[in-house]
Amino acid sequence: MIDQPHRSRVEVMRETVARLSPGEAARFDELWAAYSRHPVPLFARRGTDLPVGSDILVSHLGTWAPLVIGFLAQTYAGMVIEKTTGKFGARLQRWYRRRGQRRRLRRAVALMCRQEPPSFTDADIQLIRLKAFEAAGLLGYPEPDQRRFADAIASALASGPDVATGQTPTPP
Amino acid sequence: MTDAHGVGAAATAEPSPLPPPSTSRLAALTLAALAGAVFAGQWYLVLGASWWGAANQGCVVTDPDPVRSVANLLACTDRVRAEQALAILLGPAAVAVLAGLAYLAIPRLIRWRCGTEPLPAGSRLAVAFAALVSSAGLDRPPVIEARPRLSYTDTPFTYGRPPYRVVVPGLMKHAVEEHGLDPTGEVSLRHELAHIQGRDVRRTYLAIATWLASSLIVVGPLPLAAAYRAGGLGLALGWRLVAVAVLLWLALLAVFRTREHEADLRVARTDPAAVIDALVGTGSRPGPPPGAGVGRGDPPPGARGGRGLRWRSLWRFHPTRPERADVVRSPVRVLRPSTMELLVTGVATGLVGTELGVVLDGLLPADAWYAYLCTGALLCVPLMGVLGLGTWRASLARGGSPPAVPAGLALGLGLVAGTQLAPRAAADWWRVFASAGGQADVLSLTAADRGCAALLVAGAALLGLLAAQWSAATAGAWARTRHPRRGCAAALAVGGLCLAVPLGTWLLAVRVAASSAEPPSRLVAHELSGPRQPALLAAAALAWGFTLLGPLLHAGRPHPPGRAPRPAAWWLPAAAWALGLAVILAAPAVARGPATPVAAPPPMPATRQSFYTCRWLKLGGPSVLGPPADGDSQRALGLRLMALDDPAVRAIGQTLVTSAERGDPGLAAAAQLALLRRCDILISFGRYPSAQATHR
Repeated sequence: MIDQPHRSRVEVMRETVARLSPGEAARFDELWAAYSRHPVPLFARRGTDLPVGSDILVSHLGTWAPLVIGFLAQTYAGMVIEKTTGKFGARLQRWYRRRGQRRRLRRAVALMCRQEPPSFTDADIQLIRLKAFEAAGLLGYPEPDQRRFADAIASALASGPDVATGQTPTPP
Repeated sequence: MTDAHGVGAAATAEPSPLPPPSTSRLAALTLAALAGAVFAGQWYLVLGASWWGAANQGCVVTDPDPVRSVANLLACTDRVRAEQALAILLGPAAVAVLAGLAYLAIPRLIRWRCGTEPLPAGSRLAVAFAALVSSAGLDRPPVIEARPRLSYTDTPFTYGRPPYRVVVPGLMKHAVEEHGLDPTGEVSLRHELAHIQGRDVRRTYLAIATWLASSLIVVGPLPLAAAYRAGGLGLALGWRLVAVAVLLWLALLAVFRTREHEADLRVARTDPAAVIDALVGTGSRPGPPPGAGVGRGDPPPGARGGRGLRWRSLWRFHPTRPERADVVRSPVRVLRPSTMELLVTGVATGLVGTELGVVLDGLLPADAWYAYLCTGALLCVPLMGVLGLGTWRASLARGGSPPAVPAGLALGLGLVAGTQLAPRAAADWWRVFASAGGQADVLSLTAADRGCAALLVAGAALLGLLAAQWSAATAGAWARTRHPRRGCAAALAVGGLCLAVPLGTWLLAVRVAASSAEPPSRLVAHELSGPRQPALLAAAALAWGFTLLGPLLHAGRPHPPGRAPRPAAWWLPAAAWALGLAVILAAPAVARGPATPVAAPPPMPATRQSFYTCRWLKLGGPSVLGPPADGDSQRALGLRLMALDDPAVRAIGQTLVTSAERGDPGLAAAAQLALLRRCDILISFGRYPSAQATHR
């Protein structure tokens, strides 16, 4: 592990966006400001917000910054690797979990500029990489883009020489 | 010719010149809200108010002339009843005021909750939006705003008052700035502009405001108040209020769903394939991600139809994307009124008819039939707005009319269900609240004679059947008109006028049957006698004449393309109308046949206390007083009443004797009415120590 005392979690996000889409990196601060004011989980349930929306999901393919910010914020809030347990009262449990998620996400986002990235174990990083691959797929990204996104996330979280050189680690 | 998306029909469908289907869904919502509000007015301002006792007891005898005393008593009680009816109407007024305030507040709430911000004029999205607005030809261009949050499930929406605000998600703003407006984004923005073109933005937010106001005034607090009243009333009133709440919610959801279909169809007029692509992604471009934004209860990708899914769709804010694509391919699916829609409309009409009939009866002191005629006339506007307008809309779209039998049965049976779901039918209010008075009769058909109940259900089904069949026949017969909007307006006006008479008569019959427990023959004789029979015949003749007039006026003219009427089975309408006419013409004669044996009325109690005589009258019903035209019985009754302790009752007895001497049945009828009202006052507010305990 390389010691990087001045590298905050937001900087990790910025670097990841720059690696995936240099054009969007110029607008990173604006997008991060918008996200930190209204942090929202990547897979918020539809229909709970406003019933008057057109419900035609607009295309976001080709954009990376919102995906990186949303996914890494959830990762730092510990929402990506948590598991649901039990079947009894599953709906109530899901509702309670979502409430907890939003609260945790808000807290994590508030501290993100000041905190350093946590040290994930290799097993955690492999799991997060898998989740990143799935998340991009669920949002409609084609497979090469899913792989690219997962690699970028894994390399950002692993830190060390990979981050410095821009080399992605070997896929699991 | 149908292309790869199956959009051939949509591409050639002409725009309907009639109001869109979401207006019909709004009618059911308004009717249900009105019914709940009228009952809330009754509950808070009449049943739960203590001041009506003093107002009623103020109706005392002060004139030495007994005949004038009776007239004064009737005028005074008429005034109190009218004041009570006006107080009840404050319920709808309160809901309307609260709905208005909510309507004004909603844009601010949305702006506060979503934190929307106007887009800079030079941004790529603003420029693209301006181009779309100019091609839409809107009078007042809407303002485009963006939500700051980056959510993958947000979609564009419109709110506010002119100039409207179109809000785009933060993610769309970012994507357009990066890559420009793609076809899905364009369809999405054009969909929002279509809402503005269709003028449904205001309607939708008014519907939301009405639902909010009803929830705050009626649906929320009234079940709690009912639960406070332990026992049968809490249960009987509670489940009816829950039913009203469910009806309101379903009607609101139907408004939401239908407006989306309308906007899709408006966009699809120019490019149906793009709309289908944006919805289900069947074109060259990849569609929306399969897992993103999947709402609760959505079917799995690719799933269609199925009874379970259809029922579940009633509870959704939005139609599923495959459903929307299906409607774009076949627009008549949303233009034609569905059986469920007619059922809900029937229920809402029955609810309001039950509540409003009693109120108007209090406001109009003449024969109750005229009050119910007015109720029928008021209700026919939304009723024909749903049934007639839907039938015309479907006919003009070349989709054919809805099948008359299921549509008519749904409407008729919904009407019956609505009268029984009305909160006012929950109890005999006089037994629960002293302030109810005698006018709030029993309205539940469970209290009616079984034969009468069956007859009324059959009558409602026949009425629904005739209305549905007439609407279909008229839309077909007038299809050749060059001005369909005018033809439709005339048909709806005539239909409403003709339907008002049987509808009002039927609603009054429900009240009479439930509160008097009369046998079917007497009910028919009562409801189809006097001015009612000629009025019903005139309504039937006018309806038929109008239908026949269409082909006569347009004989020889060619059919406009695609508007040729479809050949219909002639025997069904003929049989339905023959049955209706037979009922109107023959029923009174049948009812006047062999007299039904009626049990002898109980004897009048031998007491000087008016209270016990009034109890006897309340238990035996008005029939124990005998026919007003029978001078001897009226004289005997008058002499008995003149010996009682209440001065007003004595004056009424004197008037009955006078009427017998003069041979004036009108005066005797007025005196009988005065006795009924005086007894209501004595039992409800009398000074007898045991009065309250006894009537409870």
